[in-house]
Formats: sequence, structure tokens, C-alpha cells
Amino acid sequence: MLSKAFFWVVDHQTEFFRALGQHLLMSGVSMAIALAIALPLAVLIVNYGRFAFGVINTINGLRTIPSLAILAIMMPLLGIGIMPSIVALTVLALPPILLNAYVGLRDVDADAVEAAIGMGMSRSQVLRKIRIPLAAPAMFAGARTAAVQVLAGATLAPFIGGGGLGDFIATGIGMMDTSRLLVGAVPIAILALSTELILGRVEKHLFAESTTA
Amino acid sequence: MIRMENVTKRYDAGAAPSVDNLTLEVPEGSTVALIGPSGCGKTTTMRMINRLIEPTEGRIFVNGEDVTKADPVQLRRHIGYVIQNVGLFPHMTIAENIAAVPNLLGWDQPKIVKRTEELLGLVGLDPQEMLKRYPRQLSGGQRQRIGVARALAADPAVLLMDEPFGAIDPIARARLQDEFKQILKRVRKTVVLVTHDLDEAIRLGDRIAIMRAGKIVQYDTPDAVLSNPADEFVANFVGIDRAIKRLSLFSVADAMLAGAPSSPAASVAASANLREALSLMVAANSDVLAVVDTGGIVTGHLTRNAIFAI
Repeated sequence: MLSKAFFWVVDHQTEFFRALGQHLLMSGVSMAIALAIALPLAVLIVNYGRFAFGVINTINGLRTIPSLAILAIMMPLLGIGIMPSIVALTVLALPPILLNAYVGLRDVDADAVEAAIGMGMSRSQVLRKIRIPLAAPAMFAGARTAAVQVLAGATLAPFIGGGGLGDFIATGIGMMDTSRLLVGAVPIAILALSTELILGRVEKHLFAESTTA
Repeated sequence: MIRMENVTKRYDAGAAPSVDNLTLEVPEGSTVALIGPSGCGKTTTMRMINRLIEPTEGRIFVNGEDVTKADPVQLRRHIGYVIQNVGLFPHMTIAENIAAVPNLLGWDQPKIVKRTEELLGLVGLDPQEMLKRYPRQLSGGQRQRIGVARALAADPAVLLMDEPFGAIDPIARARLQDEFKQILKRVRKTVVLVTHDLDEAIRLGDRIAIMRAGKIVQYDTPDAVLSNPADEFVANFVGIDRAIKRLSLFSVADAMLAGAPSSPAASVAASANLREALSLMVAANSDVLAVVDTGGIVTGHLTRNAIFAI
């Protein structure tokens, strides 16, 4: 069955790579948007603690909505196509990035922060020189979790006409053709797993010094 | 010099003040130890000096400047600050940690490098070995020394220390306290030290301020506090063994008499303190000790009466 799927890909290379491209584009764009929203937001709510509770709970609330439901909600609002899929995937990526970044920034070594304030660092210097570098590993870990979730979550995009590798799965189910289903499922699994592995390696390499502190 | 005038800190309006109409003057170049039971306001008092806490009422002067009118961030760059758990920055090397304040002040690199090496020498650490290391690679005592070096980096006239040796084991603590005292002899600083350890206050303080419920109940030299407690609270606080503690303020050299004793049961170093000498007398069940110099040569003798007369 796997070999049948493989030969289908060989025969339909344009179709396969277009779907793969859509999949990566959707995932990449929504990750970029989610990072651009969540990281500054985390910094903001760490500085203004009284908003943290509300923001964190709202984001956590979003997390309880199933991905498919988010896609369904987007359809009447944004129609079909790649845009609503990107919005839905962004919503999916926000919670892990925001929560990890917030907790990382908040739980930075309290003594280091006290020493920094006591020696005359301004609030923004404490953030730039102490909090962000020390929270960087947690921030990265959040982004890594989100990336894997988004790559896997993008599988559902075909339900609202978003395209991507999920198309083959939807078609496979529709035609009761398991080998066609595998054309989508196997690459998605490989993408998600290799992203997890590669980003894990990068994380270890980048933060070898500070994570063991 | 530090002067606090009628300073009051109330955390909640209507509640009892944490610091109550406190007036305190710390002469330039001297060390004062703030000591008292938990909640007596000693830490609050210290933290108002660099405005980590804002006083509710009163004025505080550092070297003649009213700190309540200064920019707190600028002010703190000119006041050294050491906390119990040191708070070294784990993602920075030792060199970067020590250079933190000079960097904030915009010193040029050659000056910072020179100063960093000088400070490591001052706190008794080898610059070549230390500069590139990270805080987690250091022992507790080494970290504490780096904390002191970092606080002294920009050569501030005033140093605030919040239980600086509290997290270190007792043996290393006594050694660090002695070393710190030697450092203070070389760099003239006005020091405010918060501690709950009476022995530390006696060892490091030129003067001790004993606090209770936001007020200073006695502000005097360790000798005066131990020999003449102002009231029953102070007497209880310094303990029933205060007369023995007081002996640790004096060295054998202060009380020794000339001439070798006829039949000494034991000997004591001239640099030891009288508390240790008395302990040796008790152990040897003898009224007289031979006093020896660092080479072991007998230079005089010490009698029980001489200790009791001090």
C-alpha cells in the first residue's frame, strides 16, 4: 500500500509538491503571526501583572475549542480558502507560545531580577538584559510545541478549502482509497516528527549554557 | 555619610508603621549593622536608602544629597547592593556580571577590564581562572565574593548589604566575614548591613542598631551594646552570654602582660580573641596562658584577671 502511495507521488509530482507548498506556507505564515502576537503580549502582561489573569484565561479558553470547530467558525466569517485556515492555525499556535513565554518571563530567577533593579537597571533594561535572555529557552520550547501542532493541525484545512497535504487524506477517505490517504498522512507525520526533532536539537545547541544554570 | 531623618514607612494606611519615625546617622567610612527580630523593619529601613521602598514620611540623605528627590535608577548605580542569594546573572560570565554597573554607567572597555581584574584580586580570586566562567560553575562562597566585587565595581561610596552571608555554611561564613572586614579596611565605604545574626553584627559592625517594631532601641558600638544593654529587650536579644560574646571584640594582644609565665598549662596566639582565650583557660583548668606569636615564640602571658578586667 505504501509503495502504491509512493508511485502515485512519483506520477503526480506537481500536484504533490503544490499541496506540500500550501501546507508549509499555511503553517509558516500562521506561526509567524502567532509569534508576532504572542511574544510581545507575553512581555506586556509580565510588566502589567493585573492583565495577565484575564489574558491567560482567554487564551486558555481558546485552547479548549477543537481545531475543527475553529475551522468551522472561520468559514462563515472569512469564507473558504487559505485565509480562514491561516487564522484558525494562528489561534491554534497562540496558547503554547504565549503561556510558555509568560511563565518563562515571570519565573526568571527572582534574585537576579532583584539584584538587577538594586544595581540601577531600568524596567526595560531588566527586561532586555535579564528577563528575555533567561526566558529564551522557555519561549523557544513554546514555539516548538506550537510548530508541531500547526503542522499537524493544517491537515484539517481541506474542510474549508484551505488545501495542503490534508487534501489527499480527505480524498482518500472519500474514495475509500487507503494508499491515497497515505500520500497525505505519511508526509504530515514525517514533517511533524522531524520538526520536533530538529527544533529540539537547535534548542539544546542554543541554550546549552543557560539551561543548566 | 547616610542620614535618615524622621523616616516612617506605612505599607497600609491606618496599619501600624513598619518603620516608625526613625532617625539614624551612619558616619562616613563606618559600618552599621541593623539587627532585630523578624518584622522589626530592618530590611525596610535599608531598602529605603536606595529607594527600592519609598518612605511614607521623612528625608534620607546620602552624601548630603536628598535621595527622595533623586532619580531612583541613577541613584542605585551609585550605591552598591548585595543580597543574601547574591543574584548573579546566570546567563552572563563572571566578567560580565562584575562589569554590569560600569556598563550601565558607560565606562569604556579597557577601563572595565582593568577594574574587573582588580576587583577579583581584591576579593581573593584568580582573574585568569574566573573571568570566563559562569556563576553555576562557582561554589557558594565564590559566588558571594563575586557579589561583593560586583557591588564594588563602580566604586560607590555607600554599600547596602541584605544578610550577605546568610546562605553560606557557618565555617565558610566566619572566614568570609573576616575577609570582608579586611576588604573594608582597604576600601573606605559607608556600609549598612542587615542581619539577624548577632555574631555577624558584632564582627562586622562599627556600630549596631538594634531595632524593634520599627524603632531603634539602641544604637551604639558592639562593646557598649553588650556591656550596657539599653533595656530588657536588648538584654534578652543579645543573650545571657553577652559578657562572653563581648570578649570576642578584644584580642589577646589587648590584655596580655609582659614576661613568660612560670608554669603555663596551655598557650594562645596573640591574634586570637579573648573569648577563645577564656575557652582555652576553661579547657586547661588554668588561670594563666602563655601568649605566643605566629612563630610559636612565647611573647608574654595572659591571666584570668586580665580578661575579666577588660
